[in-house]
Amino acid sequence: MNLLKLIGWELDRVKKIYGLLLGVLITIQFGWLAVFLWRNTVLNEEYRREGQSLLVVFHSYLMSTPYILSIGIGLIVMLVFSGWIWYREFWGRGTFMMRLLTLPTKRIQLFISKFITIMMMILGLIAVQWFALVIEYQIFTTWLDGQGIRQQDTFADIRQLDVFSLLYPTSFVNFIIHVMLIAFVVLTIFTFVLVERSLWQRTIFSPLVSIALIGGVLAIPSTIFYVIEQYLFMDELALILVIGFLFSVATLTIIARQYLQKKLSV
Amino acid sequence: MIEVLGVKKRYRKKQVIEDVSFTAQKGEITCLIGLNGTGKSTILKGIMGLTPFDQGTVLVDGKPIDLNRVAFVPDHSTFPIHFTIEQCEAFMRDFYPTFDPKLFARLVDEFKLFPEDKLNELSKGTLAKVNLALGIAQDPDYLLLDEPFSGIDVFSKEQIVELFSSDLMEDRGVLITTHEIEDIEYLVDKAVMLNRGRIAREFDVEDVRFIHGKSIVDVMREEYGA
Repeated sequence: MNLLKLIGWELDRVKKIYGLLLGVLITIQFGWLAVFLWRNTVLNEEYRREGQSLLVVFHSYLMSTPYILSIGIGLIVMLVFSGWIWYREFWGRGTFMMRLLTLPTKRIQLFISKFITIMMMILGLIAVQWFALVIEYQIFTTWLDGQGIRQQDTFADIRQLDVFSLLYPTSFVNFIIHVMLIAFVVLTIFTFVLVERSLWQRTIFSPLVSIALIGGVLAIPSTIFYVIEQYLFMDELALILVIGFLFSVATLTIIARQYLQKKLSV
Repeated sequence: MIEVLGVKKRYRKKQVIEDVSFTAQKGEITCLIGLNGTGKSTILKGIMGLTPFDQGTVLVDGKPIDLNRVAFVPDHSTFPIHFTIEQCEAFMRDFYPTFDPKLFARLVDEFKLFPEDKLNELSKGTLAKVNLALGIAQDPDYLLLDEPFSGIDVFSKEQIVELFSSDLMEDRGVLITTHEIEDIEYLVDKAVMLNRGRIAREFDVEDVRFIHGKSIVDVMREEYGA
């Protein structure tokens, strides 16, 4: 029950900044789409006067700097926010972390609530981006059709682009794998923050100690994989990858839990 | 009864708390006394698990601490400063099953607080009253107060002191750290005096007063050679 309340509480606290992020992304993408279409319409007029015809592809819009920038902003904000969702609780002297740690609830619920909040934000962002893509494509085709401008690619071609094949995999299994990888990144950031915040008398070296600890954990399976990679068949490699991933997840979870329960110092 | 048993805490090379053991009884006010840096706040935070001890145990009525039964009131707010008093109350109501809104309303009334006020608009004295009201409204068996009079005006201090002798504190165990000992000396049942991370003296305040004719400050003067 407290977990649901905590998730509700976290979501309530992020709603403004999340709404702002979505607003910025949508404004950049649709604003740029308007500019993109207008430029091509003008260019098409010039081509027509010279007796030529213009071919516009949706990929050009998606691979343009403003569009890539909007995706990059979303990615960076979510990465930063994965750390900030913890760091903000330590902000100032009257740290809210003190209140959270003295709640009559299991501390691991704090961790889970923040984790679920971040995952909901990331998946929500991916979903909003998908709907935005669909609408952008509709506007794109409708406008160009109306102007009599030729176009080539279909909506399905969008997934051929690296960034969209990662965000919107074609199979459910791939989607689950990608979500697990995102969750792993969030878990790694969470563990880093908890270790760093647990080191008493925090200094400039605290982040380095945290990075060394987490880096050490991640280096073990990576090194083993690197050493034995050449002696294994493909399906054996896949198995080793899965075992290495599970080892990393389990170890990071144990470290995060231990530091949250026993070492976190406010 | 809160039992602090053999706790130790080291910050880097400095042993801040060295094998400290004491008890704080329910229905009594126990005062942790010491000069600055003797580890008073660290002990309170350690009891609450906010700064874990390196060694030792804390028991509340013979069991590990139950955060429904022990409230901690630090000398600053633990809520985001843009919160209003009513937002703090809403949070407490949501997350503390023992939180008593009627009790809080009574304290808001007694302290003449305005629920719509934001924490960052309050004076230090008013903020101390808000903290105390939130802590007491948790309706805990034990209340841990860290420097509740730090930097507050004389009238706010009076109001808080009056609260200690009111029915609101009956049957609760209070463990308090303060430098303003003169203001609450007549309310304190037991004093635990810390010196360099160790317990220098632990005494019944009334006994010392009646048998030896000394106040807490007199004992402190002897101990610290001030």
